[in-house]
Amino acid sequence: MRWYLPRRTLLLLIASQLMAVLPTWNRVGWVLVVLNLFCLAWCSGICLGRFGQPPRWLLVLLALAGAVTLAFSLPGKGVYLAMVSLLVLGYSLKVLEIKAPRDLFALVLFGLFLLATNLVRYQSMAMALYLLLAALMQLAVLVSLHGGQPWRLQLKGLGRLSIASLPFTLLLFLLLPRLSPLWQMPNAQSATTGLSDVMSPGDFSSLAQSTELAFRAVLPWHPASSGLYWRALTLEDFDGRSWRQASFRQQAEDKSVPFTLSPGQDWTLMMSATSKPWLPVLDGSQPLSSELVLTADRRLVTKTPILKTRQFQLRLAEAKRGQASKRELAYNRRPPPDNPKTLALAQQLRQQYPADAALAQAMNRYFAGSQFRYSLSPPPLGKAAVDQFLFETHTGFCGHYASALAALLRAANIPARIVAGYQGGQYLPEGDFYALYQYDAHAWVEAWLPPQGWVRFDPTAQVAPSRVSGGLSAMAANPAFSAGGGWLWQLKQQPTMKWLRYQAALMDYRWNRWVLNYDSGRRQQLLGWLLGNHNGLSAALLFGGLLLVLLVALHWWTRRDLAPVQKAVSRCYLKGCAKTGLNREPGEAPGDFALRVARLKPQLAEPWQQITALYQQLRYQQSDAGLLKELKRRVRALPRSAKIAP
Amino acid sequence: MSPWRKRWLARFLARRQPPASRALLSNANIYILPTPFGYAFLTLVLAVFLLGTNYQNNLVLLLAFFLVSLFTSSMYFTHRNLAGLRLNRINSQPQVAGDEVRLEVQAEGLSHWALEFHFENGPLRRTDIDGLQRLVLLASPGPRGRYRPGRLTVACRYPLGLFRAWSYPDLDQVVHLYPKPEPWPRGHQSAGQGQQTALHQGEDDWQGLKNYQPGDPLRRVAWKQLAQGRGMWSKEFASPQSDSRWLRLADIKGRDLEQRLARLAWQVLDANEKQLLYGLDLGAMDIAPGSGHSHCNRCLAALACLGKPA
Repeated sequence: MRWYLPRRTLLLLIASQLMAVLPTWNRVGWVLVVLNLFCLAWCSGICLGRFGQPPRWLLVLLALAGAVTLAFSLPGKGVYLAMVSLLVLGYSLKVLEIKAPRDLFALVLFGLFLLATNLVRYQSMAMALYLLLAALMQLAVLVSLHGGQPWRLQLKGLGRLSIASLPFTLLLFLLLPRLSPLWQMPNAQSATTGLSDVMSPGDFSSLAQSTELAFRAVLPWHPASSGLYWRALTLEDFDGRSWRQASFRQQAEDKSVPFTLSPGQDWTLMMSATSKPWLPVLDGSQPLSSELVLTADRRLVTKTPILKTRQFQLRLAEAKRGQASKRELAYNRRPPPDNPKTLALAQQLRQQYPADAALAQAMNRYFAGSQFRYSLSPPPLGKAAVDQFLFETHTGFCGHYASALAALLRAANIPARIVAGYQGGQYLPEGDFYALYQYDAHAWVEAWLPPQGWVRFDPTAQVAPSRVSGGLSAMAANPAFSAGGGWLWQLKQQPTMKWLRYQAALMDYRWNRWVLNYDSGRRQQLLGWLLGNHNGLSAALLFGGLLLVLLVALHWWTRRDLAPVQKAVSRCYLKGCAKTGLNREPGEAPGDFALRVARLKPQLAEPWQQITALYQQLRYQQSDAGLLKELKRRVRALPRSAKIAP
Repeated sequence: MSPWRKRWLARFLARRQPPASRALLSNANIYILPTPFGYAFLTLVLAVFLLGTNYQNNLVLLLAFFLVSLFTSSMYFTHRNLAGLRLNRINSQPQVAGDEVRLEVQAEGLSHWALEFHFENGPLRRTDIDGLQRLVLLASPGPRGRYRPGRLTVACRYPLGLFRAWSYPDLDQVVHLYPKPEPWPRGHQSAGQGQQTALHQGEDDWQGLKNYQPGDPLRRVAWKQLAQGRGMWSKEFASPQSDSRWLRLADIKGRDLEQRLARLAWQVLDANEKQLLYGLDLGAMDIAPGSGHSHCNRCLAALACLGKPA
């Protein structure tokens, strides 16, 4: 079979490859990117007639360079990234040896698979739209190879095909049973922003600059923003500078404590991917699903890391704060090392306030003093971080204040620990949910004060009350804060920008709720709603029935008028004749009839003459769809015969 | 294809789509199957589905479902691209044996994109049909005689190349292939023996005008009278008998029958070019004197068929 590769197809191929490779660029390393660009540039050169096929040795050299790069850069990055890198390498090199359509086919299949791997990494709606567009580009390559018509008609054909495929897609998505993973896939996540289990004062500033969504919460009630403390981690191991999660918290008996489900209010947490197991939850939340466990320090963790946006059902009960093991308390009492001035200050305060509760309150109030300032760009701290902060810099944000308060409490022999999580949240009434972003990350202190148990102290609220009541964004007006946030924060406070961001957040929420989190449970719900009490058989019947309906609809849509073109032309002309209101004599030629029309119905003379000319052209000279359409249009435009004066 | 399968297919098609001068491609005679690329595409869909299932990723699953839906609907679109196409036979003129055979087909239909037409062993013709179109198709060369190109293959892979839809219409075309002409002016002379050549006689004994009849040689048309608007007339000559002559196979010498036929073919074409009145005597059959294009074609067809089974 004789084939040729049109230039248009090759240009489309280059564009589609660029679109498919673009989202992988920050993952596969710059060498592969440069290689890809080089191959594409060479291919465009071939396409425009500037270069010939590359020599054999160059191909070998490029392949070797790619392989060596992969061999050096990949170890430690995981199987998944290796697969993507290999795909990109092969995909790039293949462009240089396009000779026959089969090479194009291979490239299109490569491209589509690469797009699928991108979807594993990126799941936002914008990215999904982009990748859909990229997939359509791949298909456009195929259409341009297999259809000879002008590109506008090719585009139309592709559009019709895609639209015809959508109902099927939806049906399969909604009704096909979801399988559980057939085998364990390598971890797709390389790094994500979010909380870490080590905190040094200053760590949260990178999070505070991040506008990435951390999680959403659907709460059945509306608490004040200042009451929303989402606990994710407790940090109990202090080395004088950094706080870490205590090693005993990792052990099994601390990780999972038995509990009885108490009455309370149910809420939903939609957690973004973190590749960590911990969840930010309101104090006192209990899990409703078996994939979550409650820990001894009243946190919730998942059994497997959260690799994609997931939804969890939780119940908020009254928090039981009165439990703590002896080991835990001893651990939380250890005085802060390397910070002598802090110890001295604690001793001094202890003499003023002998009772633990009063002392803790006083220590918390200590930060309300005028010398302390809230800032996202505090000066760096050395080894004795707490001393330096309390007595020299006086400038910091939540991490600094929490660290200092916990150190003070411990120095006064009161068990204290840092809690890392999120605070506040933006409420979106349309979606009825709270959205929390990485910049809502927060740290505060819990102190052991019997008989209440663990009591929350938030020293940041003493320094910058608006940080707690209005969220970090409310701080934008504060010049000290803006200095750290930059002009981007200012821009984001514009009302239009706020509205846009709000709408985008809402759309993203629905995208997450209805697309990304559609699972077996949702499918069961949908089937139940459709069928009532159902079993596998009735679901299969429904699926089959709908499939049949769709196939029939598609068949009907693509059914073609089998009448020959000439018949269609005649039929259209005769319809026009009837509309003139004159009877065409048998054997009267179209030209003669046109003369009669012009004589008897002068107002029709002009249009009818044009119709006759078109008819004669279609009948005796040439015919194509465009002319026929034109004839049909003109006949339609004729006034009804009743409206034509004789 | 094995000979056995070929025979079976021929019998099947003869029942299903018997030879006819026109064909309408419809459900009854369009066949469709995935191409190798179509199968590769399905494998890709499976790979994407596994990726989506194993990462429990709805978007990847959506992509897999979209691709498999495309596969299904592209089957309909490929079929539809072929359905409704009408093909009409156009009778072919005799052609020289041993050359590629030119066959004409009238195709009619709206929006049929990237169709491929070919006869068995013939080159592929790729074209869109949007309206009424005359297609010239080439078939492989054949020996002298009646030539049947057999079934035409009409196929398409539009839009994505995942499916190939095709049909085997048989337009019952017959072409007469006459022997390749070999110049033989001597026979020309001998045919004129005992008579004067038509060329001179005709112009000397001009008699008058008669009403023009279709088929009269164009060089006899009275152009002057036509130009004056007096209608179409033919010039009449004194002795029409002497103007016509017979081209006889018996008069032509040659190595064998084929060479003699080749020389006779040259004479027929020569006489036609000079717009003479001529008859053909092949011994077993003869064709009364005449002139014009269709007469020439009749003569060439007779040359093609001589000694060959019908």
